[in-house]
Amino acid sequence: MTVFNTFLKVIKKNIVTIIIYTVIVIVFAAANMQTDNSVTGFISEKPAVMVVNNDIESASSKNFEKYLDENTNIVKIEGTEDDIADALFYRDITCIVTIPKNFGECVKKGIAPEVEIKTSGNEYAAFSEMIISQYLRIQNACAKRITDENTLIESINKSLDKKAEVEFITKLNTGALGKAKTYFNFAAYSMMSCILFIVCLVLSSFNEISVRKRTIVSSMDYKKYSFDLFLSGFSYSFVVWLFFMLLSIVMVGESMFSLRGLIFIMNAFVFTLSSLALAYMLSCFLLKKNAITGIVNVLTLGFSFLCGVFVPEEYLPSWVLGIAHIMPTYWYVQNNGIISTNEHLSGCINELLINILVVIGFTIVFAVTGVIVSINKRKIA
Amino acid sequence: MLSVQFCTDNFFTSERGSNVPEKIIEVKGLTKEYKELKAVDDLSFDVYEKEILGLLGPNGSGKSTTINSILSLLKYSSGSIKIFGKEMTPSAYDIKRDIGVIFQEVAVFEELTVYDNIDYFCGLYIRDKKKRREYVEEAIEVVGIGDYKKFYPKQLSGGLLRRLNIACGIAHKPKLIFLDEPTVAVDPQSRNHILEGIKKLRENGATILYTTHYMEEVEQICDRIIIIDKGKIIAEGSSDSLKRLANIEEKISAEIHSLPEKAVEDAKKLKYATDAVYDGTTLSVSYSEGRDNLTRMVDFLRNNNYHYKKLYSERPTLNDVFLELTGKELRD
Amino acid sequence: MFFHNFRYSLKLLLKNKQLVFWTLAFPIIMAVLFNMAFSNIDNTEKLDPIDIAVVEDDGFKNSLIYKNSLESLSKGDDRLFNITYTDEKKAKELLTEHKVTGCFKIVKNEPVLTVNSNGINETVFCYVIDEIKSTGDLVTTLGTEEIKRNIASGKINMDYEAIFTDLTEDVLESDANIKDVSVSNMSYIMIEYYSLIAMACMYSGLLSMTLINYRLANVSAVGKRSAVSSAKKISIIFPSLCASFLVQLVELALLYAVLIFYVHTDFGNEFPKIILLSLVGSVAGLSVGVAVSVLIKAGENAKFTGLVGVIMAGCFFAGMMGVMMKNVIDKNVPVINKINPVAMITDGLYALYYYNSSERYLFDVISLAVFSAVILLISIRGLRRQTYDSI
Repeated sequence: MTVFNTFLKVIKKNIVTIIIYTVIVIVFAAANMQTDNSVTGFISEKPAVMVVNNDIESASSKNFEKYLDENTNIVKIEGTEDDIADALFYRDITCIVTIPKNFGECVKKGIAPEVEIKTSGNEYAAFSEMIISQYLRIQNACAKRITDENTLIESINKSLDKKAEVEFITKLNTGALGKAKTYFNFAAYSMMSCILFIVCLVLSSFNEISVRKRTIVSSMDYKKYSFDLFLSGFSYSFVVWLFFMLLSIVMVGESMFSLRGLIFIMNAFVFTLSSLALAYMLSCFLLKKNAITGIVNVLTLGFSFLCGVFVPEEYLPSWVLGIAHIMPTYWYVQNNGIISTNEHLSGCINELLINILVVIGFTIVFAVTGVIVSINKRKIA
Repeated sequence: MLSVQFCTDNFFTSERGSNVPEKIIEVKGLTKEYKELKAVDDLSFDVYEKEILGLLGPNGSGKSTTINSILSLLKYSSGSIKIFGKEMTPSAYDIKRDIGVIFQEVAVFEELTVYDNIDYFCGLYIRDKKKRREYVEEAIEVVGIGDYKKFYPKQLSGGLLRRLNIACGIAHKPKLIFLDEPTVAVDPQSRNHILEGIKKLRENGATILYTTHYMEEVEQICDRIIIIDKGKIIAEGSSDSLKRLANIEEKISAEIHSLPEKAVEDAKKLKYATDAVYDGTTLSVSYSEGRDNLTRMVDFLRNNNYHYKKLYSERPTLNDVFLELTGKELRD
Repeated sequence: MFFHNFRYSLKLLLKNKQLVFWTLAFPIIMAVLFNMAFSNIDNTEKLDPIDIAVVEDDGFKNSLIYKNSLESLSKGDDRLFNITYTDEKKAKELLTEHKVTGCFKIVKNEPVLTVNSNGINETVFCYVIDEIKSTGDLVTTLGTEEIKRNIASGKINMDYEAIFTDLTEDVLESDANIKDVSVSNMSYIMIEYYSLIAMACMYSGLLSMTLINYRLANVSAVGKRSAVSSAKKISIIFPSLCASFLVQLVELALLYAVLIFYVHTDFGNEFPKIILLSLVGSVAGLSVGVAVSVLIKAGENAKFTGLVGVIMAGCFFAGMMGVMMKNVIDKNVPVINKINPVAMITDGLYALYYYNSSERYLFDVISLAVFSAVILLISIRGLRRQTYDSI
């Protein structure tokens, strides 16, 4: 009880730091989550496009704009040229289409009008270009043979109206699951930061040579003392885990009340244990208080950048992912991916279990290393 | 509550010749209030040239507040402070040049070596590099930490750290030195070294204001002592003259096991006895005067068959003075 | 006096391990981490070939337009698709296992697509098939028109295949006549590196805060010594700030070296302007450090952690933990980034990278200068104070 109370006192003393960390990471998570609506059918992604029509009067250009409106998300950016350029840079819009003044005239004459585009260079921009290109090709091909504007427009629209049938065969609520995956991935950074920082701080205070000497010569059973320390650390980590799980219900919504939601939570629990073990191992190295902030930051940020938390896995180079294999966060993130995308959980249960076992393996390795290090240090001291 | 008692005791005309010495510090009516509490209450005293003045008082009596006020670190509510005959203000740099301070907390840089620490602080006063180097070496010599020049403060023991603290404060050879409890938590060897060093500083012409709650120290080195409690001076004078204020000539103590209550009462009735206390192992009887108190004590104990192991006589201490004047102990 | 204090200030800074870590090692570690994580991102932003499965049955083999179109779209380095030709069961399996984005099959001469999630790849897949369908339909329409015209004008003997083949070629090769005027500097990952530089500039506050802590009597014991010495306060504080600035410059230079030679960050062509911005940014950082030291009443460690936290929060709003955040703040709560020095520095670098005119850059530089001046003015009262109510 003494140990537990002391643990609490030390946490209280550092409460401001804890609050700062927690608030910062909650804001991160909130800001980084996509605001997807629940989706259970196929919805075309529509790239955001801005249209500058310098030939508003002609029927041809109006038709072109209409087509763009149906296939893209037309966005009007107010403000200066700089604001528009910013919008393009930050991918608020992926493409700016400029319809020239002589658009309608060229079409009537059967000539291909020159349309300017400015893109952001990503896959959405490439898709926008496809859409624009398709319309213009069809239009230009028709314009060579059809002289009457109205007939021309009719032909273009008829051709472009042809859509293939699409079957959407998943029963997964892909939107909500995507949200959950983002949240739980981000939570890895949050939870690990909170646990590592505080537990390291507390344990290293207890491990300080003067405190340790006092404890060793006291009448308290060392085993009981160690167990109390472990229990206190575990309780704190449990509270952190619980807090983030409750928060997940707030952030992700009702879909957390399902089997998949439960698996997400269990996956996070195992990850919490590995964070606790890592904190224990670090504290055995008798780091100074000042060093702890630095090391904790480097570790949590490093893990998060390299394992697919801040930067989605598909964007990371393969050699980085190779390195990420030696971090528990990687395996935790893998599981989040499996849970959120696999149609039939029964099919991937093996993979899930293996990843969880790997994380448990990390936990054991950290704990054992910590014990070995602390035994050695005790001998030297 | 208590009137201030003065015992000048021919202090100034004895060893130092008949010249009236210069007043280095003049404190008049110094008062410092923290909300309703008066930390220093209408304090007035002077410090004379080349004297070691001890400011003695228990924890919280206002010693550090007094020092910080004199140094213009603290804002005080009222009073006037003159040093070297000039008004002391925060920007009186000419006065500050000749002042050295050793604070209660160790004020050194953890990141600098012993030598660098002293060199840095000396450099705030002495610009000439060559002169400074000499001064720094001398200061190291005076406090006796020559073997530790390249050590960092973390590697030093408490006593050595205190010595370093002192070296940093005196390296620039100030004429006036403030020492605020410089020997707290210091081993006896270092303490003696420090006290001897302070005496040497005075021999070299410095005036010293020394605060402490250790009466043995003031008795050892101070020429004059001011006893302070709750921000007020309650006594002032030399060690001997102050002890006379205790109204105690002598205290005789006997180590006795299990003494009955009656015996303590009887002891109080002995000739010239003013008080008798038994703490379970030792019977202590205080006498206001008299020459054969020891003989009478022995007789009293033998006649009543009180077997004692040890018997000894003591002169009164400043603690006794303090106890007499305030009803409290100096050290809590 | 100046060099004496300057020299020792330098020593105090360089021997403080915690300080050296945060101001030098940490930004460089972050730069390396960023490089590892972002090195591929510009490549992967582009549209990669989409994996699809095609059900190769008779229906498909007979649909020449789809067969030929898909074949040509899966050839070459800039191909759109990677196609696996297989049977229906295997195709569905591949889809369930997320090994392909979608399945294609012909049912009653019409294309049917199967997907199991929403995303840009699925959308592009569907659109391309629609395109082929549209093209096919157009060819049919135009071909029919031409045949009608020929019949009307008396031409009865026609090579129908040639008409449709020519038309198909014509439509497929029809030029869209698109002029691409995109700029090349579109890598928005640059924002991450710019905000990292901004963070490093602001961390100079840790340097100044540490030194000023040592100079204030109500903060540290050594501060008391300085206060009672005959050295004027300005002669102690000014060299400390100069020393902080010098250390900051060296550390920043090292960070730039890493960014230029190892990470190959693109800074555009305006290096002198970048240096100016970094210098002013560092002054802003120093002033924040002074303010925290003088104005915040807390223990040294709490102040240190607090300042690190505030700077990281500023970095967050400036886009270091997600580039879009800067955009979100600039659009919705612009006042935050108008007073956030990290954002000012980041924005200045961004303006140099992306824009041609210097207007926005100058605005950021001036904002930083004003910010520093205001903060220093606020702190000056605390700096000049010589007596205290309690110590």
